[in-house]
Amino acid sequence: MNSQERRVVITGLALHTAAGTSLEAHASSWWEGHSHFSTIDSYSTEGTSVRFAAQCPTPDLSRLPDKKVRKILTKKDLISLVTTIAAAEHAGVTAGTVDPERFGMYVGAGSTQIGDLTPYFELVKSCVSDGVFDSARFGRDLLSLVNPMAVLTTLMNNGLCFGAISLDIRGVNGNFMDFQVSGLRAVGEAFRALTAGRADIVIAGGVASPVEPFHVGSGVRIGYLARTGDDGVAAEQVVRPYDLTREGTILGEGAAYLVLEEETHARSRGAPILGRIHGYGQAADGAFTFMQETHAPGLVRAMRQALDDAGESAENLGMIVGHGNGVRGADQAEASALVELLGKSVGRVPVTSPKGVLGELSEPAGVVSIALALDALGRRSVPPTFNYRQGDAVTAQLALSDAPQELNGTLAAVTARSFLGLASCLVVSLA
Amino acid sequence: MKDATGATPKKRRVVITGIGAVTPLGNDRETTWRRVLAGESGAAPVMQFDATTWSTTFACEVRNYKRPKDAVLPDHATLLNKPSDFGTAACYEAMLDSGVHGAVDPARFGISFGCGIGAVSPKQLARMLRGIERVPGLGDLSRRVEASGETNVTIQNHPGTLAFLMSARWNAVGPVSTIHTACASSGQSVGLAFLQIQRGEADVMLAGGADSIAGELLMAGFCLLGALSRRNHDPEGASRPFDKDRDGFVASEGAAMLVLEEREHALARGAHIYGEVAGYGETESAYRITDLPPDGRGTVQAMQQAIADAGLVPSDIGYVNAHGTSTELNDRIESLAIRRVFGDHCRNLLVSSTKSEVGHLISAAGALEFVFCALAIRDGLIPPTRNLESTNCDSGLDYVPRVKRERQVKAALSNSIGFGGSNSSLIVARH
Repeated sequence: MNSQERRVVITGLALHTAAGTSLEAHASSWWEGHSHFSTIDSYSTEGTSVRFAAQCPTPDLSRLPDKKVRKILTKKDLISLVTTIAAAEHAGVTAGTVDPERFGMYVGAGSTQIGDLTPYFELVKSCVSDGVFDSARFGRDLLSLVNPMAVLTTLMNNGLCFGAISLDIRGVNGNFMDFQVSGLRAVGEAFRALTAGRADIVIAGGVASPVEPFHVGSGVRIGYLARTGDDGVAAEQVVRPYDLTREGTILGEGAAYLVLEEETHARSRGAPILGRIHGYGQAADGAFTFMQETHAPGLVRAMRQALDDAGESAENLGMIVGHGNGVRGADQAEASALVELLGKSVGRVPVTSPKGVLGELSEPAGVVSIALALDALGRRSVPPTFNYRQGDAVTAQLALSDAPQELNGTLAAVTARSFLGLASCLVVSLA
Repeated sequence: MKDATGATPKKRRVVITGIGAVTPLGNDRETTWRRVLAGESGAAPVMQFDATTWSTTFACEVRNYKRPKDAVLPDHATLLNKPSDFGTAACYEAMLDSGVHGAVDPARFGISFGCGIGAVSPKQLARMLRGIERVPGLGDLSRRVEASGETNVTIQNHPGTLAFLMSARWNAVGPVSTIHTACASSGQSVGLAFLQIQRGEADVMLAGGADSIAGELLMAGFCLLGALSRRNHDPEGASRPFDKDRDGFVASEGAAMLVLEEREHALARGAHIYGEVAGYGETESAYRITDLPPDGRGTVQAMQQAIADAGLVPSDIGYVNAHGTSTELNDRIESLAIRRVFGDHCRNLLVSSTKSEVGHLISAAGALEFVFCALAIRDGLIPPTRNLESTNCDSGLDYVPRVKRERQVKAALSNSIGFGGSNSSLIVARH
């Protein structure tokens, strides 16, 4: 088939976040405002500024056939694996039902955290004397005190590895480490691989489990995370995307995967067609201030690329799912970019963000936003941006609301931005 | 991606116009290459910490490194970890070598790196854990980070940070990505850069990798796995790919960067061209996290894809820079895979592993070895496999033992095979 004629459809979708594992549970969140923040349970938050996160339960291990594998995988990897398998099941794909060499996988993964090094902690502490680290003692005791499998738990491509093994995926693959844009970037690269004829079917998405003490402490320090200590503010009101009073975000954890497929391949096997991808773009700002910047030129270019790719103009967008995570500078920068992109259409194209109820999921955030977009397009309505009451001078120019809005058309632009100034955008529609 | 007229552009050709390297054999491209051709070893007893009690006491370490003055923006130097630091110098050399700085539209200039985590040092970890008694009850760590401002550790040790820093330094605000697929990382990142230029998403890409596993925690991890050579009495003889006495790989560190450029763009500005990036293959073995499948299927498929992508046949390839780690399994199965792909042409094919000289740079290995392929074509010289006395790989391949070989080759192929199952094969052809 001529690669120029290859069209890409979405045939599977699976989510695993604090909201649950079904699309219905997530829809309940973004339509009805059911938030899922809870007290951090992986360490004591006593005396810290952040008590809440959107945590998801550790998956049911009985779904994993290989007991040895269960021992290697961290919570992040487990979430990734069960969500990958669920996405494939949703698309009606199991190992052996598609050509493995034409079956690919792209993942946007969260990085290994300091907390993932816990197997070494006691040994490291025991090797410090008078403030001096004794590496000779560390080496001598290493093999007797640390589990040899510990290193495998820290591999950052475990989600890709075990997804590929479970589903016999032998084709194109990659594991993107681009902070909050990683998941959307994985979907974008899958789209490119399919249109270019390098694969017929690709699983793509993101996973992150960043709720660990060092990451959270750093996030507070740089002004990225909202302080959710004993200030009396209810957790469900903390993340206020684009709102005048926004003060930061709350971390979430989870995974989101799509099955993307070349259209004739999907139709020939009778797969459900959930949506269609029309275009993709990515770009960088070349500058950063940990989401305290006020402009996002990279986002403008990424969105223009995606729209050009789709052969569409911004005014025809039915809706935009923004990154909108409630960080003061980031939301302003994003809004500024959308104002520039939309021009005179700025008040007409509705914008929404689910992070008021789901928090900042980081790597999988953009993929969850695709799920929201498909759900919204199906209902012909745009879900509310919860906790948005009144915008600032820039965000107020956007068509934002804490109530449902009417769609402006049949296409949705889904965006993601990282706190190092990277941006990605996908243009999607229903089938 | 469609061009301004709405048509999908023809396949664009991609050439190499700049190369930079920081390795255990030299802190620049030509020193490294001269010493690799001479069959010298970068391995020696570990200098950075006391490893005398470790199961492996040696590594290939970068020596006498000094970052070029303008390699990173002044405000960003505090965000570097060790491998990122090496990466800045390799980028600096590659950019100056290419002369492309200021000669490319920033929006058409991107970054694609393969990077490892670099890992926090145990000294740093011990400092963070000082006084914390409840391990792994780590809430105190979060509170301390909030108070102390030791926030850069998260950013420093994220694989994606170097790409951002170089995006800012060189004003590359097109597509910016980081891939981590273990040992296949920078093979894939160069492959992605090639695809992005070919697809019309960029005209110039700075691509490559940076990593270090010669630090305590990562070297400890590979010691635990039993993957490192324990030839402590003979460090320079330890990395011996394909040799019957091989017993593991040698931990290494460094960076390798290439400027890839759309051919017409390079010709128009009169750039020096090392060679043409002719083909790329990217596969998953989908077998086990650390082992190759016995039939070498993923490696075979990657090489076949790359050769087909280049429009070549196996007999067009004169040299294969093998992944050749000096581990029992990799070298035997990769040899089998090469035999399967090249068949009777193996009589004329030269195969060597430059890990015998520089050790295993993990995420940076693929890019560095692709650089060696380009330089081999430039100079008509094939680097040797040091320490190869007698093979038990039973493949009949010419591994270029111990002494470099004069050979003008039309095209050379570089293999990378990663933990987690990702594979890449890249082909550079004479231009």
